[in-house]
Amino acid sequence: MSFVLTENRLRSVNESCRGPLMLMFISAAAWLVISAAFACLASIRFHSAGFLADVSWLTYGRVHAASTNALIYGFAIQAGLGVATWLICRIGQARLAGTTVVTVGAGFWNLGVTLGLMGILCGGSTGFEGFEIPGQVNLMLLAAYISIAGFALVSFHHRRNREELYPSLWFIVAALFWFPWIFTTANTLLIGAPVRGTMQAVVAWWYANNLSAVFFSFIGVGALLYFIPKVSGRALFSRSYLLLAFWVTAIVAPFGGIPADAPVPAWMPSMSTVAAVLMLVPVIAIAMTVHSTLGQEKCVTGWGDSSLKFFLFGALAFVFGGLLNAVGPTLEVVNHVFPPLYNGSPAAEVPGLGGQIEAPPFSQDNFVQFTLLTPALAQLALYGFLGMTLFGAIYHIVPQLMGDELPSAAWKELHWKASLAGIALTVVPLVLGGIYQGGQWNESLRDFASTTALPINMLRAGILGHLALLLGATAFLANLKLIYWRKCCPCCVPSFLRVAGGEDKTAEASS
Amino acid sequence: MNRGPLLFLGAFFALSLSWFGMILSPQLQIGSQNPGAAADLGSFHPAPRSGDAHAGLQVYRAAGCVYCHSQQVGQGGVIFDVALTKAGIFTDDVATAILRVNSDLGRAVVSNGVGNTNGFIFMRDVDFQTADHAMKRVNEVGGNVETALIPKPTGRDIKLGWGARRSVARDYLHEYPVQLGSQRIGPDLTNIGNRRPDPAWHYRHLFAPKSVVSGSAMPEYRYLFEEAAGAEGAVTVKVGEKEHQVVPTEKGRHLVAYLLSLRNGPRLFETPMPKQAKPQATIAVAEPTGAQ
Repeated sequence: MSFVLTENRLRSVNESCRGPLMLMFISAAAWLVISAAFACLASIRFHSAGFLADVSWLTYGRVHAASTNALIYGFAIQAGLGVATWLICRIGQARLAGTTVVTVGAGFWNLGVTLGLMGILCGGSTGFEGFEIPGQVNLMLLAAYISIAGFALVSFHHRRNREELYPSLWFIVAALFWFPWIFTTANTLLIGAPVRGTMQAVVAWWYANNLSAVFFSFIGVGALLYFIPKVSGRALFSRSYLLLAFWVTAIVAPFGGIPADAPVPAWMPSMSTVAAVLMLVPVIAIAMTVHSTLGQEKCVTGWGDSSLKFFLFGALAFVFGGLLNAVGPTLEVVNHVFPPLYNGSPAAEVPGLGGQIEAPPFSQDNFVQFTLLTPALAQLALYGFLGMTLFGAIYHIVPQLMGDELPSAAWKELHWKASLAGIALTVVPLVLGGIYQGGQWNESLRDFASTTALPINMLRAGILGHLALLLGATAFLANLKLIYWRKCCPCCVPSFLRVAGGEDKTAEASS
Repeated sequence: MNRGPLLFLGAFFALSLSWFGMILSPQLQIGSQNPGAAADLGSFHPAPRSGDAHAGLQVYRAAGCVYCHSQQVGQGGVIFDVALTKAGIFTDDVATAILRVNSDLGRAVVSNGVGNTNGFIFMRDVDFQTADHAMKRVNEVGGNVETALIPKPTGRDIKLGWGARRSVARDYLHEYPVQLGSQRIGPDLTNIGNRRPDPAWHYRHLFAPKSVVSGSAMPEYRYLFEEAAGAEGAVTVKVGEKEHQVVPTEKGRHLVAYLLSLRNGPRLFETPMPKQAKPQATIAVAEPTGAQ
């Protein structure tokens, strides 16, 4: 099956997307810079406890929340929506419907995130991790989301020129439906009519897990499945693996996210443990698809390709993160199904009678919970997998939208290297610290303070990573800003930023 | 063939499934819990908070304490002590039976213990099967002999002194938002009101953590204080060589009142634990009156 796409139609698709998508991509890059700056500010506290201690709105908890929310709502969701919209239009060969509404929606999304971050800094955080933006703003965010995703779906449903669905579209269209459902559920049950007691924690975990394990995974995987074959020039390996990955993720992943020791009915953490093990199925299916699509030699040479490496890294981060996520739960399940394999003790010692007051299943001094492994894996998923995939996608899409080349390949290369260093320096120390914590907490229980000394040093090391991410994000923003600037008001671009030939191409594209 | 509608329905089905499983079912199970009587007569759990402590929860939330401190005690399992509560009439046979199930005890200790009317713990720290077996052996003697099983929570959090039992859903009925936390960069705070009952300690700790906990990585919360040398109720904090006289702001007072209200609760039916370890329930919740 071949894409027969006339030059004219491709151009008209890109022209319809240009305004709203450039707004979303540039804003997303700006939020990425802001998020990294806040993360640096937060990490300084681990070096100097008294830094800005007189300023309530710059206290650690608020700056940390502002950083993660800028990353999630400002960058990841916004850039993810932009890439999803473009993929729907590009694969379906459809012009984007309702561009004005989408542009206004994007504006309101950014206004909402701005107000939300201001609210968090002023002390209005909701207190639920991953959902800190104050409730008053959420209606605006939801309306903005619907006006963007709604018209993407209208373009999908009414303007699509190819009836058959490319696998990317399964993931992306499902993701677009997913977010408003989980977001309204969280808003209703946490803010509108709050549920009582630990049910709040259950709802917050459910939302955060759905956001990362389903929404972000679907957007990222959908993008990878389009761009990896596209950039490497090979056909997608198999649909049946992807069908399996899609349905297992959609049905099983939302049952995850409840930590093992949580004060909730014991069947809930057990369910989450089993779900985490089953999630190996989609991870392996996607790993095999990507690997077989690329073929072995491309895996090696692909790292030299300026676009493909972003997607390769994204895919690797997805697979590694998925495997690491499943290690703890798999050990727990093995422990309960085959106790002798796990700890060498005979099965007869497993308590049978009195099960109600014994430990709930799967919660024996859990290895991962409360350790730095949790934020390490979250960072790997959000920045390593989704972030890198979206960077690659945006670098692929933006030149097409603008009909121009990227102003600076060197900045792109800087962004790549800085992101790589930043991810390594934020994830690896946290993984080491987390493993250390897990080991300490099971063995020596005498003294809490001594078990946290090394992990805190690992958090201190994280500031280098956040500085690298800040540098990379700035290069990313500069590239996007400049390509837009050159197109829209070329006269204002200072002469040293003008590249010979750049303007000629702009003129060509606009004529 | 257009599979768009199938995709929509499939996604809707998958999400509904998790909504029914992970939101509605637990809501039906624990969503309508109410504060109620604890396992010990006379205690009500969870006890309502003072107004200051109630306001302090919002200071805790706004400052984002939850990113470094958890508020949930986990439990590795339960081990048991077995006690003789009533020796009955065949005391010699009871002593023999006890010696048979626990030969580590000397005959003198056992006969002394059997004579003790306050009860005698003849077996410590064993699993359920062993305890159950021992109770049956002793109860077989008959003659009004009575034994009791004393469950004791164990695990890393309990050993660290962060609480006497694991946290359960009922402990959080008064919290909004519930701040369980996912990190332990700092210690768990479930039981901080019992572990550190002195408000002045908390003021010093919030103003300059290193002044009371050497090597603490906690940021300073100086915005919760005003410097006021010689003012009534001022707390003296020594930072290095320098001494500060500080008075907490209203928010600072609320936060400390909230921290002092955090107490790992009494025995509950859902979390058996030994009776001796329940003093928290009977301590009247002290109304923190600011710096002493």
